[in-house]
Amino acid sequence: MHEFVVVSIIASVIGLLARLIMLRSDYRQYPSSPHSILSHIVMAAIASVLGAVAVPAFLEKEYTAVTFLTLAATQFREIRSVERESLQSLEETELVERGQAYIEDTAKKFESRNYVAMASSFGYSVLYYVSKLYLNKQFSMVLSFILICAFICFLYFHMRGGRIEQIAKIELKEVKNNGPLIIVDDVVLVNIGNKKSQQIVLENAVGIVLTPKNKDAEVTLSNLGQRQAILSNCSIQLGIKKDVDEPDFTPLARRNPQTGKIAILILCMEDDKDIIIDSVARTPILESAKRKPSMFYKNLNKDKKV
Amino acid sequence: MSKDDIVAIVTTDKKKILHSGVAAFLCDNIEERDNVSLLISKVTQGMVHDLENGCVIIVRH
Repeated sequence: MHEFVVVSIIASVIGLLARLIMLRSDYRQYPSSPHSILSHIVMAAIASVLGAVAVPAFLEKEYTAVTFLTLAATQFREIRSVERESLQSLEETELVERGQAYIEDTAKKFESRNYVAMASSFGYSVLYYVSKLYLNKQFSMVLSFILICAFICFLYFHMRGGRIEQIAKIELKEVKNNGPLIIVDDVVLVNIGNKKSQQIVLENAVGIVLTPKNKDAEVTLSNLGQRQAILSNCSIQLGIKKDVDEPDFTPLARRNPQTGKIAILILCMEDDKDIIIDSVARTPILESAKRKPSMFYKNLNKDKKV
Repeated sequence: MSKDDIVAIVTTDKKKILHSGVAAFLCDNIEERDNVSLLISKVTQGMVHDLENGCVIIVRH
């Protein structure tokens, strides 16, 4: 078999494997199996083949083939909008919405993971041909395989993102009322006029308070998308005692403007306090919600010193 | 109808309501008011908010 073919096949397989490692269907069941997963695998297969053949095509002076790579990149950009549209259309069927920011974050992840497939196979081909200049075929194959695996591992851990527990202290607090107002840790969450609903909320709802650990966390948690993501996550994991005609039991997250604390009110099926805390703690920090005012202060101090 | 609109006002005190265009329901006592507001909220999928002056409003969020 021709060397180009062998290298392209190995590179494509590596690209596809990189995508498979990142294609995990967890409690959110998204991508939904088997149809959505299959379409993602096919997209990744196409991406990795394109990435794999780019270098051999270049070496063969087939420049038209290389331009296909850019064409493919434009096509793959569509993945984001397709994911976004599909999640947005499902939003109306959710009891607790995911929120725009969470959807955008998910769509962004799918797009970038497809690029990982392409980059891994492309990287393997490049590494192979470069190392072949100095080593023999077998050695360069093994060396480039090891290096690309390290690259995939690096991306895998780097692209994981943070969790709420890293930026906030999570505590359970008592749910109180003042007339029709429902209060958690001095934060007024909602006005429930219906006495029966209010009684149910006072007896069954859980109050959770997130105390930001620093200035960055304070701004990140204030983001409405991030708060909605926490609520959506909790309602998926813990179950929710609510139906469409019961807006009184909608989970809420409100901010204490003085302290930056976030008070959450949720009526969940789960009773175990540790599980409830864990559910909030494991919510991902949204890329679009992440802010770093600390960098501003750092730069400000630097400029003042100069 | 846009988001967060007042769907109806239910009250026991006629004097508290001006002609605002929103449907207003007059009740004889607090019990009736609570019952009527619950029934309206179930139909409109709105939420009952107490204004603590004898009036409750039903808002669709």
